[in-house]
Order: sequence, then structure tokens, then C-alpha cells
Amino acid sequence: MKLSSFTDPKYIDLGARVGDKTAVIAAMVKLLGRSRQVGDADAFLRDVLGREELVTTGVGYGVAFPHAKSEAVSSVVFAFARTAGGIDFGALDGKPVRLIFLIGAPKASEPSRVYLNLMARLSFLMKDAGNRERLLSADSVGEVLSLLDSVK
Amino acid sequence: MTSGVVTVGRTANVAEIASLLRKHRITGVPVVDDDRRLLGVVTHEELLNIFIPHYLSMFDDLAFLDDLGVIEAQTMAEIEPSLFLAEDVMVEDPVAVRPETSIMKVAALLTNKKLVLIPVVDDGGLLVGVINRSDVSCAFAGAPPKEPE
Repeated sequence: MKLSSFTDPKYIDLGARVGDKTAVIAAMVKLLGRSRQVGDADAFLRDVLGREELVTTGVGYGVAFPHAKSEAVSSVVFAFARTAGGIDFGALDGKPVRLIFLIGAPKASEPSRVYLNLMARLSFLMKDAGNRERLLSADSVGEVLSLLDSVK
Repeated sequence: MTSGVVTVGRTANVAEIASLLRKHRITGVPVVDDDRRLLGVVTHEELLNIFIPHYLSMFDDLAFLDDLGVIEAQTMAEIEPSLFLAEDVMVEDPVAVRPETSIMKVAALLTNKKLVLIPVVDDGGLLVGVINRSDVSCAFAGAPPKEPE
């Protein structure tokens, strides 16, 4: 599975300057709102924040994966943001978050396996401290995409 | 029908669900809200869907998998379980039946739709039990169904 096929350079922000968790999610939803996959950005934002209210997607080690199945999304897509400063995501380890993947998937009776596979792959990649460091130090969007696709 | 059913809420994560399935030796659990309203179902299949690459569903013959599997096993073997809640993986609006539904119809639903369990709900959509393949085969064979542990 080539991860870069589920995003676009336009949906990657390596210098996000936003104040809090809701603001950064809203900014990322806005990025995906330009995509053909997200038809109604406001509805998608509500779904993502609703999922976030259930249990935080700040899994620890400075990474979060806000996500939602949404009727506003037509196919699986993700955005990535790296924040200049750490954001309080209510993460499981209490640490601030700097690496954020926002994932959207169509709402269906049976959740898309692509969606679940994508989250599994991204979460696996981000468990590795070396991969996180490479994303934190990446100088370009191309470098980020190459990293996501090259890591086995 | 089995009453006194093991259930989970929408915030149960996949590690918790897998532990419940193993502990109670069951194939799946209904997902309910605080009022026991049926929201969905999670079975072993939904848990496996996280790990099994989606494109493998296109192939009938998986003889090539021994080669391909090395890469996928490495990348998919270690996930963050807290990220995957029942809310994320469950089948929503699952097939459900009423207590008065005939055993033949239940058997047909289980086999035709390849289900491992069917929730039983009352008129208000509240969960009252589940029926699984064992319940049905025991009913046909005249043996009492086994209660969950």
C-alpha cells in the first residue's frame, strides 16, 4: 500500500501555527476541504471532533491521528501537519503533540478496510522513534512523502 | 438465544474487545450505548480487517502470500490499539432479529449473509440477546445451547 496515494502535497503542512487541538484539526479539515474526497468540510469537522470526544486520538510520543468515518467523505484520504510548538491533545501519555495525521473515510455499514489498513500502517510507522525524528526534521513535503512510502 | 450477553460500548478498543472474545470464547460482541441500544457488532472478522491488506480480498489464490507476507507482517504486526475503538471498526446497523423470529429464518440469515451472530432486539431497538451459529445448530439438533462464561 503506497501511503502517498491517499494524500496530496496540498494536504501537508509542515509549519502549522495553531493554538489548540480543535484549531489544528479545523485547519487540517480545511486543507482536505479542497480535495475531491471531502464534499462538506463542516460536516467532516463535526464528525472528527465527535470521534475525538469519545477517546483522544493522541496516542502518545507526540503523535495524533484524528479521524472519522463521515458521509461528507467519498473515499479514503489523509492530511498531515507538523506544528511548530507542541499541542495539548489530551494524549494518553500527557505529552504535547507535534505530528498529526487527519484521516477521513466514507461512512458505510462496514468500515472500509483501506481506512483501517491506512491507520494501522501510519500508527505502526509512528511508533518508531527514528521515523518520528525524520518527520520532525523533514525540510520539504516531498521528503515527507518519500519517507512515508519508503519505510517498510 | 443467549441472554446475559457480553457487550461493549463504542469506546472499547480492539485490544479490550479481543481479550473479551478470548475470555468468553465467543466469536463477536454487540456494541451498545448506555441504554443497551444496539449500535453495531464487532467480530473477529472486523478485528482482522485492520491487519489484512485490503487488496488481498481481490485474490482467490493466496499461494503468493508467503513472499508478500514478510513485508506486510512486519508493518502491520504492531499497531496502536487505543486508536481503534469499537466505534471505528464495528459493522453499523447490523442484521438483527426480534425474539419471536423463527429459528429457520435466523438460520437462513446466518448462512446466507455469512454471519457468525445475530443480535436480538426488542421493539425499541434495545438488545435482549444474541443468536449464534452454535445456538441454531444446537436448536436443530435438540441440544441445549451453551451459556457464555
